[in-house]
Amino acid sequence: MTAQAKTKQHHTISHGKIFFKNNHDYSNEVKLFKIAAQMEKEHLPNIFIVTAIKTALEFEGVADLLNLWSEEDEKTEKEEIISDIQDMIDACNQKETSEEIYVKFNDLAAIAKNIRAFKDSLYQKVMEQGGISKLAELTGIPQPSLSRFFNSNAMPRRATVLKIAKALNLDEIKIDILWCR
Amino acid sequence: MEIINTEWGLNSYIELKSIRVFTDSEYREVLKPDVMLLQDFPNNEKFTQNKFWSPAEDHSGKIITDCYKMKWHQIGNGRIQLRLTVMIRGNQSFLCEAYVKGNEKTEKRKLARLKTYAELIRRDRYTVCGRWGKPT
Repeated sequence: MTAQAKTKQHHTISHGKIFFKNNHDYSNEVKLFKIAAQMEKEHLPNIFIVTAIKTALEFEGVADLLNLWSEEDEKTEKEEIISDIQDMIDACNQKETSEEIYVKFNDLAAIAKNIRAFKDSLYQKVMEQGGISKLAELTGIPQPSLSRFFNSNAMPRRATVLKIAKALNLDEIKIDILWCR
Repeated sequence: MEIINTEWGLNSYIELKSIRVFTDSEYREVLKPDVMLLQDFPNNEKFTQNKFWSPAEDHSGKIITDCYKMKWHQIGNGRIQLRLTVMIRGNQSFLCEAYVKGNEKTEKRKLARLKTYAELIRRDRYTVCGRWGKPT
């Protein structure tokens, strides 16, 4: 249930006026803000923390991920959760339905190869300019999320590619419309 | 029922295919025919088999409204378990994300992602990357 849905309003009538009383307990929100403080202690980028909390206030699935992160002790699993949170922030940025060019199963291997080549060449540029940690600093995208970006063969989001290009001062970047979302 | 492949679904296919989780023949002979059964949802008997189809639950065991898991066992050379999360909305079924069933922690993360996808679909904020069948 979302934060908004949990809010129950009751009204009382006194001296002919209607007073609304908000019975929302705010405990989930407070918990999220505590997680934000925990994230800050672990040196996650401020822009990531703020966007994650804002998204979690609107989407219960993202709040679930934040809770899983706060309860997790294992470093690699925490990093996976951070990457998932970033994925969901990106997904939630979409504001309407859109229709993309359909991809046939037979074309998937070629597309994956194309994506791999693109990411490898971009990664080369990242390494020339200080590596992943420097890129994380410049873009505000957490390091584990950037690692997932470069390691996976998934279609990159245009917004992410442009953010990276901007951080690296790349004037020209070839984005293949067939697979870049 | 119309089947809609979302960009999240397509992306997960690309990833799984590139790491050779399933073979081309498995895709053609097992995975795709099973997914196509969604056109007749819920009439096919397979949807009554818990081994193949079950409601999706979040990390606390709460059912995620309108969301399900399609399951395959012993897929690929690694003989892994494959999952496809699906949301049913009216006369449309949305393929949300395919993944290799890992440990309990992976499962919890994938279901939190599914919950987010479902909410985005409810709010008409998604990208269609393929359609099969017609809305009934």
